[in-house]
Order: sequence, then structure tokens, then C-alpha cells
Amino acid sequence: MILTFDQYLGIAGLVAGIIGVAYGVKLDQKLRTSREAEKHIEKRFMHYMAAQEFEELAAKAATIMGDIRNRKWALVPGLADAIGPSLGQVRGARNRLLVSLEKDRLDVAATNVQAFIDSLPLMGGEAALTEEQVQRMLLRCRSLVDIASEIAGRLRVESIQQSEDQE
Amino acid sequence: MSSGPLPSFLESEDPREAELIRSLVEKTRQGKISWTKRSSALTASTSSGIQINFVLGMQFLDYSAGWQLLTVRNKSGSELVKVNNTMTTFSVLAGGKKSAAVEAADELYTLASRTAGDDLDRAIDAIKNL
Repeated sequence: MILTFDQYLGIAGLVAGIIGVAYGVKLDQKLRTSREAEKHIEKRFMHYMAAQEFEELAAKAATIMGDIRNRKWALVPGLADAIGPSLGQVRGARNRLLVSLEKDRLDVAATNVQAFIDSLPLMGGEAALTEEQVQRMLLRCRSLVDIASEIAGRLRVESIQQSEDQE
Repeated sequence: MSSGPLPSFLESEDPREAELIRSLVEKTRQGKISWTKRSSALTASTSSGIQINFVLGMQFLDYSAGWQLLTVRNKSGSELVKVNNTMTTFSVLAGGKKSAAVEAADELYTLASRTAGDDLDRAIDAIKNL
């Protein structure tokens, strides 16, 4: 059977069409893969940033504790005033990454930090503080150091695991 | 939603909160809710997906160990009840009486801490059953 020119042309068109569709499907797959990779990187970056923020929060609270232990009272009020808003900011911004118990422990830490700020002596009143009052101040800061470090550690590990999964 | 040992003029407690906590007390007593001890928390979850957390800590007025916050969340993670147990100097001076929710939470905490099992309990049971 001999094909006419039009029939050849039709077959060629069909083949070109099939190749075009296959190419389109391949391009779509590539696009999806790149979008997934982009989302993965975004998620990893978010975990990394959140871990960093919680680490900084823990470090700030630990610095306050160190200053109290060393009786560097002049530095404490400034740091104490800054830590409350920092805690609120990180808690609000990273809420989605936290499990329910972490949220609760952060809320308790925030209450303790507020109580700590309220318990700070007025300028010159440090000399009258008893050892018990100082210990109480340290305890109030400790809950924030503990929970912020724990969350930072978890997020850091998750961020590393995500990059290993991607590899 | 939030309640704590505040004087009555600052308090806006929904009576259903205490009712919910009392029903958790009852279910714990019946052994239908099992509690797990963690480093600074007591947690439990029900078959219907309700999650209950006690955050433990020091009571700053008398240095006793106890609970600082109780939260009850539904399956989707929304807070149903949140009870603070942070007795402040202000609330003491103001003659603050414990709210019904805090009293119910105290009872639940006492019961939960008695029944809570930890890894050590599980290890003991596992060895006994060898």
C-alpha cells in the first residue's frame, strides 16, 4: 500500500503531537519537582531560623541569670525589659512549628519572666535583696532557658534531618 | 477562657470549664484516662482526641512543687480550657480565692500525679511480665 503525501503529512503531524505532549508532561514534572524542592528549602530555612531565634532567646535569659549571679545589677533591667517582647515575638511568629506542650511551657515561661521583671528592685534597692529573693529570680528565668533551649534543639535536628532527606 | 486565682472582680470564669475538668477527674478516677509523666509536665489524651497538659513548676510563694498551667485542647488543637495556677503577691494581697476551675484542676492534678506512669513504671511492668 502506498501512502499519499497527505497521509505522510498526517502521520508526521501525529508523531510531532505525541512528542509535544510527552515534552509537555516532562516539563510539568520538572516544574513540580522544582516547586517541591523550593517548598522543602523554605521549610528547612524556616526551621533553621526558628531554631536560631529560640537559641538567642535562651542565651538572653541565661545572660540575665549570669548577671544576677555576678550581681551586675545595672545590666539586668535593660535585658529584662527586652526579653519579654522578644519572647512574645518568637512565640507568635513560630506558633505553627510548636507542639501543644511547648506552647504551654512557653506560656508558663512568659508568666515567670513577667513575675521576674515585677520582682526587680528599684535602683539602689539591690543591697536589700535577700539570698532567697535572688534565688527566686534565678528560678523565674530558668524555665525560659530550659524550654527555649529544648525547642531550639528540636528544630535544629529537624532542619538537619530535612536536608539529609533531600540528599 | 483563662482563669486563675484572681479576686472576684477580675474573674470571668465560664462554669463549664470547671465542669469539664470535673468530668476529667471522674474519667481519670475510673481509669479511662491514662496520664504520662514527663520531665516538666503531666500529659494525657482521650480516645476522642482531647489533649490535656499540666505544666509543672515551682510555686513561688511557698517553693512547693506543683502545676502552673492546665490546658485542654480539642482534636484540632484549639484551646478549650486554660487554667493558670500562678498565685501572685497581688492576688494574695487582694484576698484572692481559688476559682472553681483551679480547685477542680488541683483535684485532677493530685489524681493524675498519683496514677501517672513513667518509663520506669513501664520498665518494671515489662520485667515482671518476662
